[in-house]
Amino acid sequence: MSNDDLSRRDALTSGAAAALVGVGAALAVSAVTRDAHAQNAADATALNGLLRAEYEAIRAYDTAIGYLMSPPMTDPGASLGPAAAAVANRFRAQHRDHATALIPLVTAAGGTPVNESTVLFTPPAGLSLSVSNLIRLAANKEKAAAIAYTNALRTLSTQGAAEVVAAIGGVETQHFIVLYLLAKGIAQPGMNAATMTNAIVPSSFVSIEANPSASLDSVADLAFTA
Amino acid sequence: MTDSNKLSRRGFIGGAAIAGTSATLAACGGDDTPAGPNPDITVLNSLLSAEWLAIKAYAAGLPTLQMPATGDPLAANGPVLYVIAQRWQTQHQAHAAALQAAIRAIGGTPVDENSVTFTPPTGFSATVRNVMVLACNAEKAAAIAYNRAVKGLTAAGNRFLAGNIEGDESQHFIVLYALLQQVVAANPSGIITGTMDVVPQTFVVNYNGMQNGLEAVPDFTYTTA
Repeated sequence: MSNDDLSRRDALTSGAAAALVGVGAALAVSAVTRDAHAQNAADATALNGLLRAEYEAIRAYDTAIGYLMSPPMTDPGASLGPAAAAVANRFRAQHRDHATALIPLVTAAGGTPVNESTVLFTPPAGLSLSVSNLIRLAANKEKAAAIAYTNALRTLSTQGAAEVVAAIGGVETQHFIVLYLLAKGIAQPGMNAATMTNAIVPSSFVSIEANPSASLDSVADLAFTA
Repeated sequence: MTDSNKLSRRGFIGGAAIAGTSATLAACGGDDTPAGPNPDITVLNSLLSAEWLAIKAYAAGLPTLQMPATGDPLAANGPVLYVIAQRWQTQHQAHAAALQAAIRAIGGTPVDENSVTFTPPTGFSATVRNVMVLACNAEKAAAIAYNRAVKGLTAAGNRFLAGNIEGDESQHFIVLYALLQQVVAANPSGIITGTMDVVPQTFVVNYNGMQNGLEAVPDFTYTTA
């Protein structure tokens, strides 16, 4: 066998090996891409579930606010109605901010954001309208939302989406605890409740780097007194 | 060599190449963990340091709440706040324990509690209100820190833990903030027996197989008209 034969064989062998590696790489990249697509689809589904819940919360607050603003005097909690309406208004606006933040995440994950008009709110069976029941309903819903957001962090694949989801989840926990304490009768509206509604859960997000003005980052530390 | 032998050898080599390349790619990009120390260790350890600091800050504030100075305008609220602060300190201890376990699970060494010291901020005088302000500011900072950590952590499991604690610290913050801003007030008839319900759980979602999340808090039932 001549040297030419050897180098031709070497060339063929290394060429074949290179081709095989190329095929291998292409197949592996294809598998990674397939996995990424599957993960994106899972992210989009999870984020759309959260978006749907936000729209439902907005609708639920729509229903509640109408009643809370002017409850009948026969309602034992009627005196709490206007303060509860102010809180509900604030929380509803924050849920709107949450929905707005979720929409681009769904799109970025390759999904189609759920259409708000397709989401309905159905009051739970046995709910009769009263100030007390509406505060309880909101507390139950906010608790469920806080749990859902936290659970979503188990599977979301991107740190950016996780940041926003955690930032919203932290605010849902704030909504929950305020309502929970009111519903339990442990807390009641304070002397500034009517004038400082914005201080009842002061920001829509805990911390989103790209949106500090809507985050707790923009809430000034409280000052010590002498 | 027969044709079928050629095919089978080619198939073997090709399969090995594919398997090898796949393994290499998986090692490079299939998970979020690069070679070397897991980057999550540093992030989790910074959160753990903050938890140790919070525990020590509460320890420093507890005596003021338990026995406020004569003339402290909020002296009457001290004992109830003392019970709540003790409870929250315990929640921070549970957070620290969860973080320690998470750090060990990825091969790290948790920062030692004794390496962290609490120094009261400048201008701090020990009154009930100032202890509440101190805690409020610290809980806000903690909630923000956890949220930023979520963005930096590479493993979804660690992001879940950080978010799970963040939700609890967020509740600590808003209770203190709303009280200090006087948008809510303690209901005298409900607060004495309700201290355990002021942030009732340590986590948002049950963690480590325990009933320590908001899932364990039953839904309210509705009253009839």
